[in-house]
Amino acid sequence: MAEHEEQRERGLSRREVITRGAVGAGGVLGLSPLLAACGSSSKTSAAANTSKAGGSITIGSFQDNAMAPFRDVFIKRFTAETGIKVNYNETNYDSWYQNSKNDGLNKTGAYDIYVMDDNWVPEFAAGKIIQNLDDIGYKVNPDILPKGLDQGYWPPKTGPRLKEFASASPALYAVVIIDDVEIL
Amino acid sequence: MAKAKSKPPKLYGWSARGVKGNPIVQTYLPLLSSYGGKFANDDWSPGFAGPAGVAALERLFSFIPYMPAGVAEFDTDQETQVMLEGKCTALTEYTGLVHRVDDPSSSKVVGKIDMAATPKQETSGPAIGTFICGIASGAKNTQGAVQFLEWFTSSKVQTNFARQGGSAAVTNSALHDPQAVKKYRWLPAIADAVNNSVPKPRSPDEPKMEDILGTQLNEALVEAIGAKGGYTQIAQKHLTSAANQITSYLKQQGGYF
Repeated sequence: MAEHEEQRERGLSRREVITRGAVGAGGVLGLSPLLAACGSSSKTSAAANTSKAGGSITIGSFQDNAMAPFRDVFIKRFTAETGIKVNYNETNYDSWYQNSKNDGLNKTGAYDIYVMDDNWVPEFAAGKIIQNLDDIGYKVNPDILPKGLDQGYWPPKTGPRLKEFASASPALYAVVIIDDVEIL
Repeated sequence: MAKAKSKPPKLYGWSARGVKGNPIVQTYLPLLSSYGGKFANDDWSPGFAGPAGVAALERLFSFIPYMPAGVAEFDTDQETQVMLEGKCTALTEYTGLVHRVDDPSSSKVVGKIDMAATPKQETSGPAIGTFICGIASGAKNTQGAVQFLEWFTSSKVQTNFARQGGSAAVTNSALHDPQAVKKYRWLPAIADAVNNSVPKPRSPDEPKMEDILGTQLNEALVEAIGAKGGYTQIAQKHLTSAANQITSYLKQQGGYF
């Protein structure tokens, strides 16, 4: 499939998502929206969020055998321990990528948590599809293996960076839940 | 070991994902990292078309006599099936495979497969690709979502996650929990692999970079299988082509150079 056809098929291209996230709803491309997407410290989202823990959450994911214990055992365990009901939906990888992206871009609110492939993080973080976890008070467990945790930062802590994010401070936008790594 | 132990077609020394795109890139990246090469340098120039990258691809070609004939079309299912049938001595694959090696419903090698971080020439460098959770920008219950993620990534829950079928937990304590490790021997290898892992370049254009490199790697493998020699020239030609295509693409996208 030619790339432009793929873009029409899949909606906004990955590059367009980042640009749109930088611009914001109805805004003009400027420095401050980019910095906001880059994780400069801002407590606005946390302070404005008045919803309290309780009630229910909705988690969406792509289908994968590795998610079976999460889906079949641990969601129920969380509900038993906290009283928070968890609605869990999963679909195939490509559909879930598009559904989560659309939900986030349009702030539909169909989901609270997206289970993602980590190569979605640059697009989802820079495009403001997911929230800055530092800003909303997520506490990192220091026992998490650092290189697994690093996959959730945007911009990345190491390696090459897009020029527009060259001087931005990395912020945590997603947290690793399964260490998928190559082994011999 | 592949040469010493294999007896093709009854027992292959190595199985791999060779089909074009992401699969063969995943086969190549640990080799590239082990030779000191990189997918992308810090200035976004491709890091695989020099001596390290060529040597890494030549290493893959050197396994050709010991790999199944159809390897250039193999994805995960085909690659792992060879091992689960007891027909190959080694492969590299993501952690999802570990749940199958000891499952008697699909494995003929229960208890016979061990795991380790990918080998090194200069350094070990497995590719990492985590399952990762973000909180939606339009979430209706952000604090509930935060509570769930803190709970699930806590040391206590992760230890239970590791004990539950040997899942690829994310904490150091879970992957070295004596009770979990006793039953699921691969857990410390997962920790070792994560600690030595090399991330792919972080960009929304990375999947396209993989497509380009993966197409050239597959063409190189097919050519090498047919040629049965001339591996250096084959590797250099295709890696240079991939590097040029990726550079051109990134320039077209803008924001890199």
